Amino acid sequence: MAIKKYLKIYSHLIKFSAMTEMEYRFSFLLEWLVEFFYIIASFFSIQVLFWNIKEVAGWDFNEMLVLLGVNALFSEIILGVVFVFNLRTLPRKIMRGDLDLFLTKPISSQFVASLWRPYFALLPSLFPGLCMIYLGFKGGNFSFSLVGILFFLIMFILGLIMSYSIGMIIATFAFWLIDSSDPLPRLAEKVLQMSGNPFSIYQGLWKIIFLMVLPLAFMVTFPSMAILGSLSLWWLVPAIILSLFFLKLSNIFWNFGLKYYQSASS
Amino acid sequence: MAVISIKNLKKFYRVHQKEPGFWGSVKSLVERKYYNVEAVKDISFEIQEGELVGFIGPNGAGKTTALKCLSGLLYPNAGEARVLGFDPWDKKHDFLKQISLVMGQKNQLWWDLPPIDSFNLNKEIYEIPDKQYKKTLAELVELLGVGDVLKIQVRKLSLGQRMKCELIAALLHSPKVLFLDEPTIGLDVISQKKVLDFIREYNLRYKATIILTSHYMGDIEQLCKRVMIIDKGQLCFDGQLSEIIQKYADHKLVSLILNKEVDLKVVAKVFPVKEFNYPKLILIVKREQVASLTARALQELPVVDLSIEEPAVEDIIRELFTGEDYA
Repeated sequence: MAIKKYLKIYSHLIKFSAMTEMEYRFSFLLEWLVEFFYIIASFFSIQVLFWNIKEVAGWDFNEMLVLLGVNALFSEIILGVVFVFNLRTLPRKIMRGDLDLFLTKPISSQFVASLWRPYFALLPSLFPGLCMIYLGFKGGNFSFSLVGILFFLIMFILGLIMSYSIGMIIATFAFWLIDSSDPLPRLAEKVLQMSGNPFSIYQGLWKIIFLMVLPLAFMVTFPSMAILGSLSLWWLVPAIILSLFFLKLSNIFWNFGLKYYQSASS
Repeated sequence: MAVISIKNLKKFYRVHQKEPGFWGSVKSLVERKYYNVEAVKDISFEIQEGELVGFIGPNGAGKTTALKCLSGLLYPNAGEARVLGFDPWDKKHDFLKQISLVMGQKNQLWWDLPPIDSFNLNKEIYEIPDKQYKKTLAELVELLGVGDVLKIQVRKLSLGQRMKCELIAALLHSPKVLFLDEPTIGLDVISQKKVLDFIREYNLRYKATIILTSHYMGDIEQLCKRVMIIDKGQLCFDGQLSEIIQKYADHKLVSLILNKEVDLKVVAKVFPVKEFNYPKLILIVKREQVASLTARALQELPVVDLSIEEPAVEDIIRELFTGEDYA
């Protein structure tokens, strides 16, 4: 079974990343510190914003805290699992022909290009995000429900899949741009960062674009609404469809790019 | 049926031409001229199961490109390649599980971890059953003599030990076809020999079909009966190594040991001198003249010892490539 094989491989990869990174102990501490300060800064900017306004496109202060927390979790995971050691280094790997050794193995090259080295030190940085969600819930007197948490987890994972796929598609352009493509992964990250804004701020055509063409709405906003209990369960359907669609699209595009790939000379 | 077969293979790269210097770089931002580099022009050959074939050729000849087409890394512009009945380009997992590509300078082992961890990962990638994995691993470790380094971090190993572990990683899945691109590059003499002995043993024991490219003629001479010479994208020669000597070397080397100094200028007027380093004098003589010239040398020069040898394969090949007469 393919899924079993990849799960086994991935468990090895997580172990290896942990072992490799634990050699450099300070990175864990530093990562935690950086994330902590970042979240404090974000909290402060939200606080300052709400000294001047009562709500942002229908989101009150505590709901924004929850959004902030979910966004922190979301970006940490996407960055750590997909971007930091993988997609960010893809243009260089393509230029140097480093993908070669993997292309001759019976393993998905897209998997190798995007997921091979998870950034293990991202784990401690999830803690501040969770704290933020908790704070928002406490401050707004919201309550957790089993259904809500489950709904949140599913929408969160589907959102991650969509974010991954979009990031992958943008990074795949490296096959054609080759020596000019170093900034591509950063571009992808910046695009995906926009998902941190509550979807309701968008009007008219933008609403449709960020719902279906570049589904930012599904990435951070909808999971946040799910855990807050303000999202209808029906949204699961388009979430599943879109995540599968974009995932398949990223795979088709990646294979298309591979065809043009010329491994560097020895 | 041939295990490996290539028919009229053609592969070119599209490269852009940049003028040198700063303004050249600025210009290339705006306007780019592309031209094609023909790495492989038209190559055809067939290799049967169990053969150990050497690819020789100067840099840029197209050896590595041909190997990459055979392993599915590059898409041929024309012609066809078939390995084990598969089209390598399809990269079917069934195909990939039966081949292995080892490139001398490229590493697949995780740098900060012991080799055994990378081996275990490959076990999962190739879906090797437990029993088979243990058996193959034990055999390979024994053949290469690296039992005591399996649990040491790769970055702490010597280059020779690392290369041996890289080989093990590449062979855990018992591939039927092996592509070795410069496997001994950078290794010391002893490690080179160990690796070559291993490849020979592997070929004999497992009947694996092996293509080996190397700059070192020594590697080829030791391992391959059949060689293919590739130059400028074309196959110049495909046959037995011994044939090359017969066909292309119309000279023999006559080595003389002298017991008295001689005037090189005088000697060179009469005899075809290749090298002189008293007391050794080496003459390069056309085959049909060996007997008569040797007789004359024995008469006219103060010779105490003499030997007649085939020229080194290396010299022959060099002559083929540069087209220069090495005399």
